[in-house]
Amino acid sequence: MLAIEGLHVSVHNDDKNDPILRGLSLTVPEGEVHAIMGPNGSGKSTLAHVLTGREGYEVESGSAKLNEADLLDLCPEERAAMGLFLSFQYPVEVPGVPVMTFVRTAMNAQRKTRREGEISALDFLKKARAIGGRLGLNDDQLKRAVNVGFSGGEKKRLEIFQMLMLEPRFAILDETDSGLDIDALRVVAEGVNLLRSDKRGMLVITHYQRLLNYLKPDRVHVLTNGKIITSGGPDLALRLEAEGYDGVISEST
Amino acid sequence: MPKVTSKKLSKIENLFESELERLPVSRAKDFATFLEDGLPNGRLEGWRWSDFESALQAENVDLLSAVDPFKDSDAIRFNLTNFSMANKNHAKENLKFNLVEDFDQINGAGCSSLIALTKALSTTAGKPSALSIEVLGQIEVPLHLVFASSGNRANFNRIKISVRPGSSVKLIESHLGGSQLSSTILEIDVNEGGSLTRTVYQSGSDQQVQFVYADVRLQDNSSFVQAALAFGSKVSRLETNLVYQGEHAESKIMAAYVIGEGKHVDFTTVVNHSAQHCKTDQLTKGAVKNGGRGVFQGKFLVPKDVGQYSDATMQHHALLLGDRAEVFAKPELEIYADDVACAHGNTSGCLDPNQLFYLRQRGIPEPLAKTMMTEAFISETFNNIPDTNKHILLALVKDGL
Repeated sequence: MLAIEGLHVSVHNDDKNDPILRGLSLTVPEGEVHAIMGPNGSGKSTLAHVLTGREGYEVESGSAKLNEADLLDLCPEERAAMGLFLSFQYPVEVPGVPVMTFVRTAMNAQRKTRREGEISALDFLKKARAIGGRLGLNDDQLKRAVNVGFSGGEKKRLEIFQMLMLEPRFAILDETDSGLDIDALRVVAEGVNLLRSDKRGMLVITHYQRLLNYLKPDRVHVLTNGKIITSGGPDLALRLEAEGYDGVISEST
Repeated sequence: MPKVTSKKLSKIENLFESELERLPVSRAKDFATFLEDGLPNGRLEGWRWSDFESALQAENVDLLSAVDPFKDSDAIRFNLTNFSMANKNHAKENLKFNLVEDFDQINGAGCSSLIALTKALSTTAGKPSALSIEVLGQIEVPLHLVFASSGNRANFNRIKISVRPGSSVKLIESHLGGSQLSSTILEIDVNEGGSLTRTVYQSGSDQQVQFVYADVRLQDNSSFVQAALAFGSKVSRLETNLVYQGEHAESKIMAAYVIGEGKHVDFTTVVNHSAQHCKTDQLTKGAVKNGGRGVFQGKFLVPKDVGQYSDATMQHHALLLGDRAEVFAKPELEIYADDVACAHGNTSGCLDPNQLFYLRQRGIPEPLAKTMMTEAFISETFNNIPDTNKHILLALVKDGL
């Protein structure tokens, strides 16, 4: 379970602190998929970055816990080893490091932190081929350097590939649907759905309803100006699509 | 014998001065040149970041500490210090070794005083001599030259390698220091249609000073590949002076450095496109840790008329891994011909924080993430040498980070 309580976060800009999150509270119980929607600049990506431990943000107050453990005290790799995964809005190119080497290093590093043994080369290869096949990533693509020379859609597929390989306890998907065509969106969503289980939670950050058609979230939250201003069932996403953020926001405030 | 009165010599120079009595006449001239100029120091333009004079002031004699990473390969191995040879059966009739005493046979290399000193004092097996190696065919087994001494004040070596027309050889060099000053001059002649691939490893202690100089001369349609990995020492300079003497020759000059606390590496190259239709591809990449110092000086000279239709690129990219890491770079293109393609690029910076976060988010601990990124950054420089050498060098980079 992910539990965020009264989170205040700012960024340091030109000698002053700009508040981004202003008392955000949110709970995602084990086994549920929640969506966060909100206008540009509302703090969606900041939330994803603060939860995963990216530098450059000042947490002023509040807490964030994953399965009772306090996330905010840990470094990014410790959070990852606890099972927290972020599908990046803009996946990063890592020249010179092949996908397979990268994922295997990550998997074994996480296992080591959790005091588990390494995966065998053969098991890893079998798993990678099976998952790659499901997502339409071939051997050649998996041998290339991470995200180098990949199209926007391929990069997002590669994020989901990594998620399926690493089998996190909790996944944050930051605008995984942006830059995808209709077919790629379906492939990616099916990949995400493979991981749904009653032991795994997910937080899906998106601008659009279309991804939610495939993912069918349990709850939808609207984030604006650094706070969740309203929450509801899947219908809320449909209402947002029909009425726009302005309508829903003005009604809630 | 020339008498030196003009200059106040430093301790180490005085030490060499005592050699004067024992030198053959042919070497005394070189020695006089050295005494006239003294050791290269920071007041000279080409040496301002690599001051050998001050690096050699202290009387530190440190024992050999670097380990030869190629010692287990089945190469034809030649140890210059004790004049021993391994696997020489591989050489057969295609490789000829000769100790040369008549130095007029070897063309004059460069002009720095350190080169003059090395020419004057080079020894092989304790005798004033230079080693000549002739390559007379396609040699598949690599030729491995090991330069390692122990506890001496100074060690000088001089080698000439001639690749006959259409012949080829893969050279491996281990420059391991072991003396307060180790200096080596290589002259490499690659004749028509011949090829030479040079894999160079350098490492020494923070008490040792090393100089590795190569004079490379390429004839028509010949090719030359160089991939060097240097970890430095108190002060180390790896200098390559390449001249195209024939047309349609090609070279790839690749270098990498990984520099830790108290170490210094200087890669200096001069490429002279004095023949038409020649192609140079130069890439130097390095990583410097806190307290380390990297120097890159690269020069392409493309003369009028004879340099026409040259194609040359020079790239130097440095990673600074700490606030106290230093890199100095001076790329130079001097072009007098009007139908050439020449380009250069030079950058220095730190590891990309976005990349670092991406790796850490996937669970890779920060130190390992940094090593992976740095290794990936440097690995590009080893793409042109045999795979076995590439793997050995990459493993060394990983250990060195």
